Amino acid sequence: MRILLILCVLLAWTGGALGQDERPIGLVKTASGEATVLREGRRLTALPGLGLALGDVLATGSRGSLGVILRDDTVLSLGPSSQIKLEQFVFEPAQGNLGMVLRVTRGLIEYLSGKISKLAPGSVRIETPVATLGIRGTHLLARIEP
Amino acid sequence: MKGAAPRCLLLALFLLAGALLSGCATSRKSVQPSARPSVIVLLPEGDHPSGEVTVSNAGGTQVLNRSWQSVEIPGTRGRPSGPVVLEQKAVQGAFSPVLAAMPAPPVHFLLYFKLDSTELLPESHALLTGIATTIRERSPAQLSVVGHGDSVGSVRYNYQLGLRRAAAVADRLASQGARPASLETSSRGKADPQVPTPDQTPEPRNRRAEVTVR
Repeated sequence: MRILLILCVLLAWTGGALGQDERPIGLVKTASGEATVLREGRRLTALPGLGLALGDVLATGSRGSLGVILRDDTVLSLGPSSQIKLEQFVFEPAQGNLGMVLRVTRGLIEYLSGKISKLAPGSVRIETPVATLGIRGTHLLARIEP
Repeated sequence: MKGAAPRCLLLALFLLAGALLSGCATSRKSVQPSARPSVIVLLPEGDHPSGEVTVSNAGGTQVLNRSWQSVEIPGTRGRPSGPVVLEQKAVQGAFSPVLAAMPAPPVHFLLYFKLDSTELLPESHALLTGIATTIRERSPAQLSVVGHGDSVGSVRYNYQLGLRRAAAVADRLASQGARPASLETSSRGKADPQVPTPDQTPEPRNRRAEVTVR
């Protein structure tokens, strides 16, 4: 009985640890020129195949560009001298937890919405220094001049 | 005549100072934040109708809900102007670097299984080669397989069946030579039917796996 209890506790514990989602939230698909991912103070070169984490800042230099796909099928690209932070990304359709916030600091951005926006219209926001964009399942281009 | 040289010098100095000052003024002007407004453009979504974007700041709100509509935003407090419909060509010119960097959208496939089995129906099995090719063409690709069951059997049994179905698809794709950069298999059991049915109902369209190649 005691052993069973310990086993259960152990299972719950490892289950909890696995439940903490540490899978990448996306993937770099295209990169050219100076294209970087800023993560916890480190500057990573954005090469196709690099996994993305919550809080990553995608940034390009004056001749750089970068394209990524997120786990909910959102597709994003950055033109030159552009910067965007993956500020919030919640994609747990089974639990009904959905939401996304992208923070664009400057530059040229293309955004094609994925499943979060389709399953929960109104749960996706793009924040910029000049305005807030409320997204309902769509495809847009933005040039942000801070 | 004696005083002419210093006076000339004075004049020259004065002109020089003026030129320097105006030079300073223009260079300071160009350092100031760009006067270009920010722009938001709504694009068509493939063959789907466009969605909607609400653009708001302290100055006001604009809604875009038709393809190629745009708003300009003069600054953080400036009222978003428009919406104005732009020429497709002009937009493509102005945004060409970001359009060129845009990855192709993910590709989706649906595969169907025999009753209570991880074996694919023949027409679904025939799709595997094409999926493996898609994974190769999109390399480095992320592969996601979500398995489902119909409502026959318990929640727990169908969850496990969904997992086995997802793993079986991933294995068959690997044996076709597919090498995704990352792989994610999961199950929704009987919780997310394609065709809603009463409990304990055999339904071929719910015995499926959803494959996404990103």
